[in-house]
Amino acid sequence: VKIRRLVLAVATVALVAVTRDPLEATMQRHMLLQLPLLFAAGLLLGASIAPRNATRKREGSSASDLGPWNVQGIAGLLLVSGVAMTWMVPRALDAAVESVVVDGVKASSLVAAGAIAWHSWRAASALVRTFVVGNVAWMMATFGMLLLDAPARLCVNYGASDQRVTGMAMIILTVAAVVATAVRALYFPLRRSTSRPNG
Amino acid sequence: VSVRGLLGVVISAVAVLAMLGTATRGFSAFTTDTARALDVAESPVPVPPVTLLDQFGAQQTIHARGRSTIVDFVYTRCLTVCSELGGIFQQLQATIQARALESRVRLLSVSFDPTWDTPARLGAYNVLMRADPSIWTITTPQTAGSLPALLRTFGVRVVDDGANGFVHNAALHVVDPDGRLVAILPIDAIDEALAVASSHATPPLRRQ
Repeated sequence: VKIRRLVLAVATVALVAVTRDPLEATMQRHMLLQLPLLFAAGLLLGASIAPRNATRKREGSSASDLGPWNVQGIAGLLLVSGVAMTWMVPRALDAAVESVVVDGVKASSLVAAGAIAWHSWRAASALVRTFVVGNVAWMMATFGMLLLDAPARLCVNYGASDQRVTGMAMIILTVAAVVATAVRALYFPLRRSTSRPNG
Repeated sequence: VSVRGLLGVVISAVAVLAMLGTATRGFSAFTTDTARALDVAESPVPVPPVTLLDQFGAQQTIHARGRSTIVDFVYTRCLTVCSELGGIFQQLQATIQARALESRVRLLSVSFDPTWDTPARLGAYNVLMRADPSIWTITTPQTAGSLPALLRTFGVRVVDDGANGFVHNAALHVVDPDGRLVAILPIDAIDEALAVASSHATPPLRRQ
């Protein structure tokens, strides 16, 4: 266990817990700041847990104990995208704002998703990674357009202008992420799937 | 590919479906409003017994004997969605008059801002809306304390917009003569609201 990363992860979760009201006051802060912070805390948590049996012999499969169940990280990344999709559903977002219990479920699921994502991403091949990036980009852009175009308010707790700001920001972020990925792929060709022991 | 590898993907896919199904009320509702409307349509909800005051300060209830009530929630200072709702209620009133549905359907506006919307201010709103008193009653809760339970039952969320107003969702709520909320419909579903309301009305024993 890497203590610094673990402390950073716990601190991030604590920060999100303390700032719950201001971060959930608008849709853009909730979706574009709070949810990514929780996911980032999960990534840190994942990174703090050193994979066991991390040897080059098992290149291409997850280094964690769950490796045989999570070949190429596909099962894990599927679960992660499911968690992301779930918290993009307006009804789920509303429920999180209105109930501390649901918000707790949201936070735990996103932190868990981050941790799973960290381990699964390391196990994934370039092909799987490309698929995941493409899929996430498609999902984000579609949801952004949906928010931008919706004739009515989708969340009962947020106004229509919030919705348009969030939609526009999601589209911009997605385009930026796709361009960055393309540039990276052009100038820094992907190495074979990584399994550097102990990160 | 190993059996465990395949099984991992299958378990993960089932978990994703379960999560999305829970979030979307079994893939039937994307928004809170849709989910509430489906819940109410499946099993009508008794409306809390709240005392309302009309423009004359007379006590009113949400449901009416014999007649169904189409309810909306407004605040009279509102310049956006409420004035749209006001226009919709004017259309509803005109349609009720044209189809002679006065004995089966009535209209009720309830303010969710009772501190501002006193009976006197409702009077001004009444004039502005040209409400026909035999069809359309505009009211405010007698006590602000009764408001949260009422709004919760009807699935109305009122959020301070930070500019001296409110952000709130709008719908046509149909309450039957027994005081049960039987339908929540989009504000432009005038014909459907009238049809549902009329079908739940019981012919009055005696005209009042």
